[in-house]
Amino acid sequence: MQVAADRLIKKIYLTPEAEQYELTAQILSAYPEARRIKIKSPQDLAITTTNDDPKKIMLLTSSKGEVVKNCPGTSTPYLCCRYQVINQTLNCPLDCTYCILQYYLNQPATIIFTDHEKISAEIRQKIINQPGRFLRFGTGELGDSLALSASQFFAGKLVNLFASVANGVLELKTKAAQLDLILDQPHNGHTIISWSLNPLIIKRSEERLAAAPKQRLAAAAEAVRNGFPVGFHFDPIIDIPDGEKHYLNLIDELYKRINPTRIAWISLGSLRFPPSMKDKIIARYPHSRIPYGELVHGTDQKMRYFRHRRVELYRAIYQRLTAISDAPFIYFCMESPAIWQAICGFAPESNAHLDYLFAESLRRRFPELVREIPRREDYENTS
Amino acid sequence: MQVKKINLDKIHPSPTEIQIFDEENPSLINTSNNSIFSEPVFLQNDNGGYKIVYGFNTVSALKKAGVKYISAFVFDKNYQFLDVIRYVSDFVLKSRPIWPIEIARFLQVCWQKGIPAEQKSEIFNKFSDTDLTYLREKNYLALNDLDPLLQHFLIEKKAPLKTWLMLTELPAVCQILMQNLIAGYHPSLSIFEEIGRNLLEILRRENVQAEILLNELNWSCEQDVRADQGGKKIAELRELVLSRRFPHLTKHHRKIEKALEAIRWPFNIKIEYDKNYEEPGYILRAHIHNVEELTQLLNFFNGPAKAKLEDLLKILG
Repeated sequence: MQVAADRLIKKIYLTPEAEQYELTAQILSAYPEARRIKIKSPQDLAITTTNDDPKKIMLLTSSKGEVVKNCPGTSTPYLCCRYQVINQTLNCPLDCTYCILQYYLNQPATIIFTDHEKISAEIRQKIINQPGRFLRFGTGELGDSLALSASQFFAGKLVNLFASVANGVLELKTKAAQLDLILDQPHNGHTIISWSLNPLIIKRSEERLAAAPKQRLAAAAEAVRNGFPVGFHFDPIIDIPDGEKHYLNLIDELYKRINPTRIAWISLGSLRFPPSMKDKIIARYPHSRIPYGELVHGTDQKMRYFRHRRVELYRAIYQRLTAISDAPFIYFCMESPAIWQAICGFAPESNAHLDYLFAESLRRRFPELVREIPRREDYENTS
Repeated sequence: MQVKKINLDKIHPSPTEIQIFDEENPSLINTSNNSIFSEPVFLQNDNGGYKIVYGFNTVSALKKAGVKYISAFVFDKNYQFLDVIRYVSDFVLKSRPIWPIEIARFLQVCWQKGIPAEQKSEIFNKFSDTDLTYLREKNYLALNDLDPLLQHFLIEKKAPLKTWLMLTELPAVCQILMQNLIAGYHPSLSIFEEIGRNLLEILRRENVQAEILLNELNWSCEQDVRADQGGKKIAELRELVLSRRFPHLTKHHRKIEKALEAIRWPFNIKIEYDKNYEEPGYILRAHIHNVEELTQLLNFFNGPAKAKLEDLLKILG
């Protein structure tokens, strides 16, 4: 079984240490038509693949150093949620115009670490080190969690791992709609599958290789039927003419298809990128209009819509999302306390407080997931 | 290459030859020996005479001055085009970088002469510190089509490559507007760049025809504007373009300006706020020298300004 983006992969490079892992064999079996090339080390790849599109090449290798890290987030005054990122898949085949990976990653291939036992040990250690805190982990920071079968095989192993974890949850963040390798995994409610959502008009221009929003919602409904809690990310929200109408219609569609009580969280974040990425977007995606938005330098030096415009964009979306009883937990990704205050009427006091609010909300809404009442002090004293 | 004393009559005009390098206007530095100029002359043997490689302006000035002989660097006719360029560019690079338009002219001559890619690449790399790709060559060649007025302005202002390329991407009517701006009002490079880039970004975002956009902006370049009015005309165009490029931001900015104007500020108080509006609120700085000024300030805060300061806080909050 292949997922849609698998067809892009034309070559798979292998390092000798990767060959010993079970995950490597599983992944290779999913790409029977891709050419396999053995190399001595990842460094050899740069010499071999000079003119190839990195998104069509996969490198299976073992990780060096830490794979599980604190999400880098952004600098103050913007609030971040202290998420834990599992950087097992580096790069993404979906080619979204606004993707920050084109700025962060400069590798000649999509890198997949196949030493899952070592990565799992890192996750376990993080959880053991902070017993009082409910930790949120995710694989969707430097790549789509599920867009490639290679990522889904790994995700499947993580779903099994988290099924027996008491104080942690796994989030698989994606824009894909085929979850064949995930849905039948025993999860014990400790995996949240989440989708980034943008209206179809934006998907067509900025997320060309991703599944259509309706397909993503259909996949989410399927996940809910299989007992998974789900999440949604309206991120990046893009300012287009009549954008509000498109976003509100999408929210109506979301609540029509998905029971809100099964939604663990919904995030809101507006378009943002480092200034030097603007020229890259223009060069790589000349059709895209996003570099020409009303963007200013934020205090973290990233380009963002200016604050009052962000408030206008968020307000309508937030109001529609919360216009139901028992609305899901809604948070802002990398936003300032001023934005929280303007939209929600309150702002988390710190990143630790925001982290606590997640646990508190999950405990209230998903008591089977968070078994103990979270204590604020357990969050304040950790990083 | 040799230094030779050359009869100016032997230097013949070569209408097909492109002047690649821009030259300073020559200044006579020794009137007792009128063959010495600040800018050297590079020539090459050609059909029994000489053609100019560098020093077009100097030769022309000397001829006008009635000078008969000059000392010049002369390349033998066996010197290949690229070797000559190497020598002359070494000389130019001692005093300044190679301008983008000079690279463009060099590439154009290479095309005309059928110079192989690998040979021109080496010199391109020396000039620009980048490799010659198909796209780069295409972008540079487009600079040759810019109006000489635009070219002179950009050279004079030492404009970076991105400004040159931005101009080539502007439709013809917008290029004419930019020419008029230069001819009529002498803008600074940063304002010129800002207006041009914002026009380009509006066109790309809105997918509107350039003629229609300019009609809607409704800004005209007036003849015979007084020197002191030039800045006003530039500011007018800049404001029109900015408000189209950043409509929400401009609207917000005007709201703040209106609120600021509504407050009668005491002489010793200054307001500061984040012009990107990312940081909420404002900072008031007061410089107080004596009790009278302090009293004045307290009256200001307790008087009718209080409500207006609150309004301002709401807008900036």
